[in-house]
Amino acid sequence: MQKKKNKVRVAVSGFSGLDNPEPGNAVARTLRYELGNDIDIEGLTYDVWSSGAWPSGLIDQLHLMPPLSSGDQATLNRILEINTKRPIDAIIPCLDLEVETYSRLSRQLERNGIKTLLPNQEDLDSVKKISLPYFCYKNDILTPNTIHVPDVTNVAFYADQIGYPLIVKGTVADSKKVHSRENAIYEATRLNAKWGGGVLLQPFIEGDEYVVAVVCRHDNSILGMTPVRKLGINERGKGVVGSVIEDPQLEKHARTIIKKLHWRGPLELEFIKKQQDSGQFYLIEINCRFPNWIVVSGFAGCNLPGLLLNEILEPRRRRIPKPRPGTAYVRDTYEYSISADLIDKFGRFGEISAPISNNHKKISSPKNGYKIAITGISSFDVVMPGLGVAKSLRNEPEIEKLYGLGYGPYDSGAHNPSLFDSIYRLPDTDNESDLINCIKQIKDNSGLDVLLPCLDHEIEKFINIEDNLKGIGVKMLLPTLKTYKNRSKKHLHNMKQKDWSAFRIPDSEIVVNDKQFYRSLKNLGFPLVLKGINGGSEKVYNYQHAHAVWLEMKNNGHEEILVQKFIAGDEFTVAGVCDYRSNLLQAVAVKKLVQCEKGNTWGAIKVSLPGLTENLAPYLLKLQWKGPFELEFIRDITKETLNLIEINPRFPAWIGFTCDLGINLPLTTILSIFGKEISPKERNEDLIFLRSCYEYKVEAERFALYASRGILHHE
Amino acid sequence: MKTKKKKDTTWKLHLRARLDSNPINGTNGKGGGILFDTYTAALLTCNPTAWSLLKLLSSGATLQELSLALTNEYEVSKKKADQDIQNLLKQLEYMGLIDSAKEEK
Repeated sequence: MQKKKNKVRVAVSGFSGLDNPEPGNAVARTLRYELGNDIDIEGLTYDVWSSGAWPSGLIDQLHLMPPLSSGDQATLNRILEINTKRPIDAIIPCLDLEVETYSRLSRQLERNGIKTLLPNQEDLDSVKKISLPYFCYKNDILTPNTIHVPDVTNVAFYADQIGYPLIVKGTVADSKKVHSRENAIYEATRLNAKWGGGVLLQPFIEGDEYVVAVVCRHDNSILGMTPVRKLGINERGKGVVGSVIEDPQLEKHARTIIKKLHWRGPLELEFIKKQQDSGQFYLIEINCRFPNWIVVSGFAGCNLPGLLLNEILEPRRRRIPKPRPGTAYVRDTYEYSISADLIDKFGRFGEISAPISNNHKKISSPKNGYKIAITGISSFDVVMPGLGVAKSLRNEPEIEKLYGLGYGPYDSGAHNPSLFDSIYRLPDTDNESDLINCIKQIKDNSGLDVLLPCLDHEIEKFINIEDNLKGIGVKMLLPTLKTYKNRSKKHLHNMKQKDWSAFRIPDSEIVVNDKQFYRSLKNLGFPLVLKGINGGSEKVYNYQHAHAVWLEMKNNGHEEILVQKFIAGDEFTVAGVCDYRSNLLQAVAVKKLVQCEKGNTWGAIKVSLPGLTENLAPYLLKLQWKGPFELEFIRDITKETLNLIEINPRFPAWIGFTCDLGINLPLTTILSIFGKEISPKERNEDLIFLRSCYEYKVEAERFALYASRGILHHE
Repeated sequence: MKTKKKKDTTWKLHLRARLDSNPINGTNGKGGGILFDTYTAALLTCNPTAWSLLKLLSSGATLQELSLALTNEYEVSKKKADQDIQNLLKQLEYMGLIDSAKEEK
């Protein structure tokens, strides 16, 4: 294929990572932000499930790469193979481990017309996590004391010396704050298994986190810089909300460090500004590639990937705009469906043109439709189901307005203008009259017909006020309190009938103290799953591992823990909805294909489980269920039996997929509430659901507005 | 050089403090506004009284000018107004959002 004249073609990598996304998606988006369709972007991925590479309009062609462990020659051969079909002008590698490979290959690539701008091996070595303390010591740069522990069996000794809390870091990526020796051992073992080379231990420094993305020219001078303060850090320690800032002290500090580095190309500096000691900046980490929040540099008018590409192709002095402080990003998700055939072809042929789809297309709303409020609208820690429910209802002609009900300014869905017309903040309290008053106010001001609660912890609260809301004209479809309680993990555990015709309930034990816990381990054997009664679970493989997780769960306030046999096998989930008479209206079963570290579904395919779905209706009728639900199953790999793991009293987060399949369960719920018939729609069975991260541009002032007034309107 | 009394000192909001009179809701600042600290991304939501003072401080004002503006605009005693002004200045100074008093020449 011939390259189109005057159109630059750049290859970008790093599209995996799910809820902790690799930077490739953000880099490609930022390039598109500046160059639109005047550029061809080739996506380099290592597996077909790199969900950041598939969103329509982002990548022109996807290419499967051999694993880096195959060696430099294999990477070079593959790039040259791609280059013969689609000539590449430049490569921007976005993974830490790749940068070294492409740096070594840069001359051979250049001889073939492919340019890069990367540091040399010596400079890369100096910023590796293991060597960073020495670099800082040599150059008089503040950094936390760091101990490299090559053998993780020694972690307890060194961790005790540092004191708690402390930070345990993998030698390549990942880190975790730990509060105890057991916790430190557990995290060190996990990180060492993932990255090898032992772990690094650092004292925890209390302070705010700052990050600076930089691009350095061929001559090591700074081409552009975007400093950001992390405003919202999630449970995994990832900055999912951040704002561009303009702090001369930070910029001066960053420039001093870069001067010592002799860098070429992109990098990220991570700092903690210590709360005490006059707010000094401690250098925590240097990453040899763009960060995954780089899209904010484009939002703020200093498009660093665009600048890098210009520097690679035409190095010359340019006047670089300063990024506008106050421009912020909020990380949300983007859900889409692609043909299963595409994934199959990509796996078999190693390359494919990216799909074109029409997800998130906003249509004008009808004037006399239903006004719906939805809770659970954030993906800050985990992706909440309200986002998928909103996606399902957004374009339905029966719906006039969609309101998001959130709890804080960093609720990611609140800043997605394509989902909601307005956002209202709910009172974060158990006081029922406050909640009723808040909803009444929304009803009085904007009109409201139906409320769909989508978070586990809220359902009981909303069941309690169902009659009050009905009194003011706001309807819901929820089970009774008794039914709601009958579906809990504890109730499933206590159920006498474990074997149902289509599925069974796995053996488990509930423990409250050490004695019971260790007896359970003996009774059930390994591996096991430890579950909090109100959420959270972890698979454990041996006594040491189980001990560490048990202590951590107890520290996190879990009074009762469910110990369940781990069942190896494929995971399935069934989402559905029952009407007021507990008749099952519709249900969709999917097989989980891709799951993030927290076990949430980021890729799935619809499956037909006739034996199960036929038997669900009587089970739900017996349970007297009303409203949305999700049942989670594991199919035992040896016995082929389906095991019911959990019943969730709301839709799952992937519920938007049902809309793409033509079985729109949230709409079915709304229509059922008003006693309306569900008109059959065209079914589209051959689809795969995927989810990737997506950053929205927000002016930081909007956070304050939402926090102080509790309302946000989208134009 | 002998310094003048504090009430004659001109106080000025640091350039790092950006005022946003809440254009999103179209209130033109009448209902207060938002102060954004460009160094730290800290956000302060300001009530109408604080907002009136911040607007004056953005171009520089003495304690006397601030007090006069506040007593003219709101039904408040001079004593209470001075107290509120001192509190606001103290808070801004702590956050590094106001330049150290520039002495009038």
